[in-house]
Amino acid sequence: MKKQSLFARDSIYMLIAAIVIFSLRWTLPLLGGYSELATRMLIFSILVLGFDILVGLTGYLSFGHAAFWGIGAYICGYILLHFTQNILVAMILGVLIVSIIAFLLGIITLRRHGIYFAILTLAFAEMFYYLALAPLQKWTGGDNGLTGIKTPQLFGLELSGLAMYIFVGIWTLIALYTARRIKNSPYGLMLRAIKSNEERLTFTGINVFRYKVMAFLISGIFAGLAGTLFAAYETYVPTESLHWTLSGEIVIMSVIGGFGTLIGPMMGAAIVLYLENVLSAITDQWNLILGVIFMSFVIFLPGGVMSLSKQLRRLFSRDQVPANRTESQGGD
Amino acid sequence: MSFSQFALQLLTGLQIGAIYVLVALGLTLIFGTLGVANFAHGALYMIGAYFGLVVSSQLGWGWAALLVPLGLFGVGILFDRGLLQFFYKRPVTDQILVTFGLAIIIQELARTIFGGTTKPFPAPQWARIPVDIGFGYYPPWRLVIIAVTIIVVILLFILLRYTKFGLMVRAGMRDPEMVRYLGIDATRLFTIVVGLGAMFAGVAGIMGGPAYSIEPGSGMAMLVPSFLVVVIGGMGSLVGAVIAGLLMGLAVSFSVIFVPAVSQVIIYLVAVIVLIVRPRGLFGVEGIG
Amino acid sequence: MALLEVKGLSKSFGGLMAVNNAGLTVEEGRPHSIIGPNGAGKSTFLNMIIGRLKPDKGSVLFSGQSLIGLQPQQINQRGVVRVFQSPAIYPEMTVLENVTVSTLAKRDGTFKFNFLERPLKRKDAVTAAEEALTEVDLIGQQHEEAKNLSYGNKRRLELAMCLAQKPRLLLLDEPTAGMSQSDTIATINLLQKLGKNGEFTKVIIEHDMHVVFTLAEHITVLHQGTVIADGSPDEIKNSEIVQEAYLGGMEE
Repeated sequence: MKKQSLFARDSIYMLIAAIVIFSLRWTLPLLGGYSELATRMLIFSILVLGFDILVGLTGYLSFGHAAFWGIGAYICGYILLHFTQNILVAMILGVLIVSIIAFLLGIITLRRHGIYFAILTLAFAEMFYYLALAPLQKWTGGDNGLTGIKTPQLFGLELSGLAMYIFVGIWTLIALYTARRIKNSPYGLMLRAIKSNEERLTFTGINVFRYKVMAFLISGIFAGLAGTLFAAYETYVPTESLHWTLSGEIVIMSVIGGFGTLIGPMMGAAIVLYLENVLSAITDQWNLILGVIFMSFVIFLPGGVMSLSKQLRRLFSRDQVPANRTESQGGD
Repeated sequence: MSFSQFALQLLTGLQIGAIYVLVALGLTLIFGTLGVANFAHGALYMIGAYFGLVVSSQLGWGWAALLVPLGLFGVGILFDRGLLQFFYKRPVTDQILVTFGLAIIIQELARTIFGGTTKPFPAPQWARIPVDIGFGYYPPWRLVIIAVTIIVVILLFILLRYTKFGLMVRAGMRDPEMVRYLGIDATRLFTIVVGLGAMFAGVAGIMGGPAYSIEPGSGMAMLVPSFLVVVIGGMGSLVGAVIAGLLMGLAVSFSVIFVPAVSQVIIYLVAVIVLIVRPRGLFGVEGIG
Repeated sequence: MALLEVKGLSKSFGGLMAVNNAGLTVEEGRPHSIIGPNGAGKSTFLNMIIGRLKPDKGSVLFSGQSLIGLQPQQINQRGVVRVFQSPAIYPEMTVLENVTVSTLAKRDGTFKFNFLERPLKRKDAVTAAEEALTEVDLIGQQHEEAKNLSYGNKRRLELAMCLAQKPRLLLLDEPTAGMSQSDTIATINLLQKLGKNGEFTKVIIEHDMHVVFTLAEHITVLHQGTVIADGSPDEIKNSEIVQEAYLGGMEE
């Protein structure tokens, strides 16, 4: 009985997700977006999904995810440019190298908490940015980025436009399914326990460090995957792919959506990209508006849009709820 | 490398380090006493620079030297009362997020007001032409930066060592709980600390502006290395911030000569190596973070 | 063989000797208590056993094997489980999830990368967690968020989390501290009941003498980092040194 209903709920969840993902290209223009924006949104949603596994579940705020995205993009772009148009080869190699780097960075940065972790991840990402800019410009194209990438192919099929959209959509669906399985697994439970009380977990017989490193690695793989897709989709890798502003944008998307909810950050990514598209057409101050929106969320709605319904419910039912629940808020 | 070349490079390293030191001192003061990681500190540097540019071009450098530190002290107080105070007790992540958000807003406001391009920020007339300092010609402005930083650092250490305010700050940096036990008006103490931190950032801004020129991204560009300086020196350690800042400056200046390819990466490399070998930083206390 | 044998344990913090050459022997199945005034070094002593602090000197043998140099999680996996003084729980998770973490840790060891395992696969772990919650009488609140529990219930929850690990040695750090009179009595009754059939051995750190004399069959007295007395409750009650150092001071 229970097994069936659980399975059914999972299937319905994925079905709805699939419908939304694969209809975006046609629904978006109705809202004033352009159809290619849908592909972009899906690529970014893979990126923030991975980010959410690390930050949303374990609470380790990384300011360096641009590194994984950017390295994935550069390697995929480089392979497409010089070796083969086979997208799978480029993606596999890109993700492989990103995972090695993510693993090593995780081992170094995860020894520290909070602010140290944020700064260290930021520093590493900046290091890669400056490496790409000057010392490695022979391979990265320096300031110009990687240009002239040929349209990638999947078994002879040219991936652009609709074909690329479907290809990305499939990856988004896989990413969402995997992320959800991770979140609901015993492993995901441990990650949430890390966020809640890391020390208790250590004294419950758990090697917290290894769990964190694996979370960092998974997160990096998602970001790397998204980066490779980005390079293939844009057939161009700008240097900004490694810049801290991208790391910041990932943070902004996740906060607006709501950390730890998976769907939330995906929505956050869509919202930010949509607003960027619509607003930057009418005003130059788009980034200022984004900053204000972000700050408002941090201050007034830290749970993001995903907590909106809960907040509203609390607001309207305030007089019916007995007061005894409220005092426990700050007790920990 | 000749002696004079070496000496000039040493001076440049000290000058680059001096700016880091000023920004890092504010960061570490605020982190040490309030426990707040201020991602908007680079923005304060930038405000100092733009403010200095406006005042010096309208009223002259004398007024700029007076008004920028005072103004930034005020900005810091506003910043603490208006925003930071609500985040003292919130998780570090929230503090990072909210100050990061503020940094973006300030950066974008600067872009709106001053435009996105690099602004030239001329130093005072007398400080522009390189002068003979015995072993070569050197821009006086850079010497000013070093001298002012030395004075500021000495004043800060005197303030902390010999005044009641300093005693309270030191007590707070060693053990934040202690401030409460000593019956100190923590609110006022914290506000003044943020004001001081902002003032140092402002001084760094008005001096760094002419040395490097300014643009809206200058704040963030200064934040990352300064934060690394703080982390390398040991979070909450003032001596650590000074020494690490100077080391970083020297590393940058000498890498330009010896390994130009990595000169922009050198601070990150140094940071990574230090933190792998000594995770708590050079002068850090075990157990923090 | 004794379950836990500690010898010559020492730890100093910057010249201050917190624990100085302290030792004790816990026999399997015999409830043991460590008492001493505040600052006697009880917590430091405990922290060295569970691997939170590295001792400067001394040995800790748990059923014949040394625990020195092991990671905290390894010590826990061997069956040495600690209940903290202020409830160490996962506030943002539900009561049942809190305990499930423990049963999963018991099932999977220090690390298992089972990141695709479905929730159903951990049914045994959940059942075990429910059993532990039943033991401490919290099963009715299993779906509440842990942070919403009352203080007394938070401490019960932590106890359930530790019980769910099926410990061999359960270290309780002031299990009744900060509790109301009725909660204290309930806790004492609960602790008397738990582990009675020799499933595990309790070591209780306390300064409430009533709790100690009700629960412990053997008592070690720490004073200024050293063991000044060690014996049965009656011996301790009648020991002059203890009277002087500790009980005398308490009666004022």
